[in-house]
Amino acid sequence: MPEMGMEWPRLGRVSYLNCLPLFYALETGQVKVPAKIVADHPAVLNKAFRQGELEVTAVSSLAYGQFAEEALVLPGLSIACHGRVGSVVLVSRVPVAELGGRPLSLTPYSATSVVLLRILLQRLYRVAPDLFIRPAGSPLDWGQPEALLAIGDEALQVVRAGRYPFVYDLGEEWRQLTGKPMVFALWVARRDFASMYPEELAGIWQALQAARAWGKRHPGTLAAVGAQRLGVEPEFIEDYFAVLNYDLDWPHLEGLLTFYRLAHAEGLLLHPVALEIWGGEDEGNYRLQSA
Amino acid sequence: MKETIACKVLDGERLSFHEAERLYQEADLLELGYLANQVRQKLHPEGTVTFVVDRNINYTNICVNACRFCAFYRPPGHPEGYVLSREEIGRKIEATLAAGGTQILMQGGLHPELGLAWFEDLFSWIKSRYPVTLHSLSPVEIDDLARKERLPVAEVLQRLQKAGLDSLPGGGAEILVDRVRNRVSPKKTSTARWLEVMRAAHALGMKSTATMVFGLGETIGERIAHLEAIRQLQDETGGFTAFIPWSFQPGNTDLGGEEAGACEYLRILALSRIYLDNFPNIQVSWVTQGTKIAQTALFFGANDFGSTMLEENVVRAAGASFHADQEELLRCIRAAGFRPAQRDNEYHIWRSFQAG
Repeated sequence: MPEMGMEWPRLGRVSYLNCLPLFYALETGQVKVPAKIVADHPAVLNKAFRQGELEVTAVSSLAYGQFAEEALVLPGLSIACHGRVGSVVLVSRVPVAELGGRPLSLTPYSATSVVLLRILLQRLYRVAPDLFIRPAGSPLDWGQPEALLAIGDEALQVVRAGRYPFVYDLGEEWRQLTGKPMVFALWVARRDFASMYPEELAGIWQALQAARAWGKRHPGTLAAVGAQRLGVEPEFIEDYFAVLNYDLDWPHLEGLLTFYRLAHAEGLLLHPVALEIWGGEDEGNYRLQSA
Repeated sequence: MKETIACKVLDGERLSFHEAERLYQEADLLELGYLANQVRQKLHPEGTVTFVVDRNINYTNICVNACRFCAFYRPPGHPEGYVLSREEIGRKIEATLAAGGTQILMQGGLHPELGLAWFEDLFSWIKSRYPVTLHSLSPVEIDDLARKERLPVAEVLQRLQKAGLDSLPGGGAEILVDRVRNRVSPKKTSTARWLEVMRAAHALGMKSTATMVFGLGETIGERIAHLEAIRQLQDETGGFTAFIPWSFQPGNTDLGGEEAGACEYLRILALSRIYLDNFPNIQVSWVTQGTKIAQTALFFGANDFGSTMLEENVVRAAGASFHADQEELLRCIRAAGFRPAQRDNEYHIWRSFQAG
């Protein structure tokens, strides 16, 4: 455990737009959080967390599946969708059923959505395209794919440009396959931090809950701030946030466990995942097994 | 069951959502009216009915929102579209002051070319010339300005307040349930955003009213959900001065349908007086219901006669055609057995009149 002080504990935040509804209240001081916020890319946060340089952080669902035994999930918090998500899409020149053996390019930026797509290809579409990962920083159509997986701003742009006639929203497709929400990210705490400093963790957790409640009550402010940052219309941001969901209720947990079970069954995760949820300051933790 | 709920009301206890639903289903008109009148007398034992002398100024009828229940708006580019000049607005304010008015209610369409600066300039100009309360711009207009300027709602309100805006009317609430809103006014401010604007205004110390337009195809549960949403916010901020329900006016609108009758109006009014235990005042809407039902409403929970509405164009465009001047309002209030009193926007008594 590092030395305590003003710079401790540390809370990792993904510097993407989808974290704004949770973090805007914290960063503008509307809700006080007893932690130092560290914003960075997911890969950097994952590494820092595993090296003990962050006490609490957001992680992608797949990343948590890979080091679940090192971390506790914070209850009630996620980034999820139930049905359409808008920002995780497969776009194609031909119907997805005809993609067998044809080049499909994968985003280099999100392992969770790549695994989600591979589950859907196997279980829902039953086709085996020729998958390749385009290099980071390359244009979307690098390698002239027949279809491509895009996330975030790139997804929103490629759909708007309309050059690929077939668009599959993977949040909606996941719901078709499983009937459940898709959880893209979780908030996790280090086990040593949770056991040694339960009150500090409770403080952070409560602040995150309060920040989420603040976000729910200020949709106009979030839309305005998001629109200013991205230089787009507030309506566009409003729609984007409206399909996202920041809760972690039973349906979300079922969706998450289904994701882990299918990922493991398809060989995309090495082990079944046991989800362990922090039970608060006084209670034991809850353990949920994916398979 | 209804007796148990009635006892709670008489004991001054708060009703839950389900109790209110039950009461509405089981109690008849006079039972609801009796309970509401008891609540009203407890809150306002002095036998006064207040009103404000104000003028509605609809600064523009150009609107991009195209709500299906609105007969007033014209789309941008329409030959009948207008924006009032500063001189025209000034003349209307002078006429209001001459008639003993204290307040201006400016509301208009969502004009794509009128930005925050236009309102800031107009409000400071008005405040530098005329001693009036600016009770203006509904949450829908504030939300539209926040979108156009890409500014947080609180910042828009702060700037308008600095320019002279005193309080907000509660327009555009219709029914605060998105299922209903998406059907009748899909482009209009969502429930969460309407509440966000009011919360932000109250946080700046601005007061506001809350309204409800019923008869838009909603269920009774959705009407109570509306009351619940504003009751919760009132618990949090205490910023609402009054609640004003009225029935949808179907004339000249796309939505068509039947207008709710007097009986339904009185039942909803009574239920709102009973349910909104943290709202000091309930206003009648004589413009939509007529002065005779408005008089009756004073025995179903209402304690305020609203405003003289020296000019009202929006409900008039939908075919509601009740007119009354101040003398007529005084006569109505007296004839119902109450003492009229002119108030200001925050319900301070300005001038008390003799009872009838």
